Amino acid sequence: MKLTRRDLIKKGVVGFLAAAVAELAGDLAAVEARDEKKGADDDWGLLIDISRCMGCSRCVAACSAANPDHTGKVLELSDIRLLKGLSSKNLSYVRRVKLKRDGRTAYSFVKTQCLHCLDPACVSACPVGALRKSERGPVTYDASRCIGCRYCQMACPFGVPTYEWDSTYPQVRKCQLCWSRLEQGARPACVEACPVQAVIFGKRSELLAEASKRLQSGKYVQEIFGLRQVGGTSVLYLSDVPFADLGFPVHMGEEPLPPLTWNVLNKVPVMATTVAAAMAGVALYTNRLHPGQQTGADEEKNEEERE
Amino acid sequence: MKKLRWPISRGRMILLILVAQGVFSMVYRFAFGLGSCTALTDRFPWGLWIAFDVMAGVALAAGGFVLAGTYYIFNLKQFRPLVKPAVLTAFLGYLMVVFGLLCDLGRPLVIWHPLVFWQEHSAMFELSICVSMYTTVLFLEFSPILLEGLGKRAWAEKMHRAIIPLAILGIVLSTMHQSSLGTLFVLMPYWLHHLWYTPLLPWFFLLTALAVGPAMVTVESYLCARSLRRPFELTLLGRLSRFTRWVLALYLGVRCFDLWQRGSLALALVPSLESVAFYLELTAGVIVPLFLFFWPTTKQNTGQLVTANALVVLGVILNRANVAVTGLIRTKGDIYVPSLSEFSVTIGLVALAILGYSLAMEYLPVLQALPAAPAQARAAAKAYPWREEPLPSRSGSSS
Ligand code: SF4
Ligand code: SF4
Repeated sequence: MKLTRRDLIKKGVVGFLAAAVAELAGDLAAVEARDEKKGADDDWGLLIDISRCMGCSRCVAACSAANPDHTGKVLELSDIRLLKGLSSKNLSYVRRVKLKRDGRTAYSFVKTQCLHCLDPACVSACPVGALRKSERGPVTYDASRCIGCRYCQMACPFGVPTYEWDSTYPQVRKCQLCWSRLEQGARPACVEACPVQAVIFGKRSELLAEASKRLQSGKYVQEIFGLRQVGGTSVLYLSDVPFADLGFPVHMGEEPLPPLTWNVLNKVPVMATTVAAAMAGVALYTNRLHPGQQTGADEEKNEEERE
Repeated sequence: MKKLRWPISRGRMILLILVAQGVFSMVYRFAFGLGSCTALTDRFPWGLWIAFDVMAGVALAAGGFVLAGTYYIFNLKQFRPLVKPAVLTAFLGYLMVVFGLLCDLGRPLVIWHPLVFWQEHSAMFELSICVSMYTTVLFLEFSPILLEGLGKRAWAEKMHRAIIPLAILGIVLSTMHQSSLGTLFVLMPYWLHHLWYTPLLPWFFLLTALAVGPAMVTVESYLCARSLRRPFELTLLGRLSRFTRWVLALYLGVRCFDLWQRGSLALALVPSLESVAFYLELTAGVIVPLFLFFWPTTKQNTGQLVTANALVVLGVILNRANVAVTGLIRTKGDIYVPSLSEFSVTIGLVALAILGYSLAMEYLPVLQALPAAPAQARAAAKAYPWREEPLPSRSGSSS
């Protein structure tokens, strides 16, 4: 009787250790894969020049036409004027900011959509890999995997992903940099629609070179938003007004967010093994300590038999 | 197994009505979508169901693994009367969590996806794996009771032989997912208010779970003793609180040190919604109960002991609500108040858990036989299990 139980405990412990070691090995492989990730120079991205944008919202209309909502509705310019932010019906949005400049009121326009982070929080949050950082940069979404936990919405530091609250089988919606158009050699819909090239498309390295060139002319604040924020983004902004005045999250540091979680999660296999081993040790010890006495389980069983 | 009594008692009738209205809201939610009946928005995609049903629910069900560990692993035999009720509560609690999650997920039909699409970089992945495995473990830990109730004694004994490995597995899984509920929020340094945000969140979630598990067991024992007219296990639960108080003291110490060390303590001095919520949570949920726990007479006083433990329960509920909602209000620039339907589903689930608990208490061998209880009182207790008057002869049950 005793022997069987001890065997069982041993088997349990061995099983645990094996499982934990296997998991650890898998995790280490994943870390390596992560470190090997290529640089971001070739990633596709956007350069948005706030000083050029005149707020016509034609990019939003084109975006809506390329990405209609789940009822198939495409937004007209008249609908777009009523928008208050991103939603599952508009994956991009032009925010109007009222500013005082040289004593006069002026407006700036900020085209807003997913920034396609180089190390995206939303991707690391997703438990099923529905959100992915693709090889060429765009952060894409696969609805067939999504369970609808909405952790991506909680995790994105820019509050980008939106949800189809009005649907009974909802999807997460966010800009995917028109990756299906990119695959056919076209540019994103918003880029093609902009009449003044306030949004341009290209590889990140090319966009950065263009941005540095523009920064030479005196009209810009000397900063590229997205160069380093949360580890860098593929969508970059230039502005003639300080980013803080435009409501950009300038307080964000340069550290990417996913390592915050990973620093905890990569300890899980070791922790699990330690706890399992410690508990098994205690169980064996309390079993052996008083050979004449019975364990909790024994006693309980005996008592049940007596009853 | 005994035959179900009919007609059912008034208390159970009320519980059934509460369950029914919850089911109605749930059906409505599935028929018309989350937007139709919840107050959830893109700014607050997580609301009551995640903060209470899932986050607080998982923490409050921690008594299952704490007591299984105390009894089966640490072999502290005196706690035996508490083990089965604790495992039962944990099992029902996790069922509630799973139902709450099914209701909250946008695509509940594919809730199993994390099991096949592994993403070890996601805290949500770890959480879903651990919760699903632990619910299974709890079912197995609970199965001897169920099998015995069904009269399959031989099977129950077979199941019982695996109890020690199961208890170990339960402890490992619980340590992992209690903490990974906190890990979820480690990813949000720019959203969560820094009175709550800290890389130590996983540890804090684990510590508070360790404290609130036994506290919940105490509160339940009290309610159960009152409604079933059994004696309240004052001495035993007093001893249990000796464990709780040290965990709680450790939590308070590390929490304050962490705030000070991260330079966030100043945030608590600015009058704001957050600092009020912070003080409420810490005073009512940690400091007052600690004071009570260390007060010399508390161990012998049912009222004080139950109050202290109930405050710990309240404190953990407040903490989870603050992390999931209050701490986000400022950065999100929006406010979230749960809708009636959200409350309705939550109330329905809680009622379902209580109903399950009361039925199990009556029809399954969960509680130890009461050698001392007068036969008459037991008969009365069976006839009106939900009547609340304290039993005159058993003084331990009221203060
Ligand atoms: S901006 Fe948000 S949604 Fe877009 S890639 Fe970054 S984390 Fe993901
Ligand atoms: S809602 Fe969908 S896409 Fe977002 S984290 Fe959850 S499973 Fe992934």
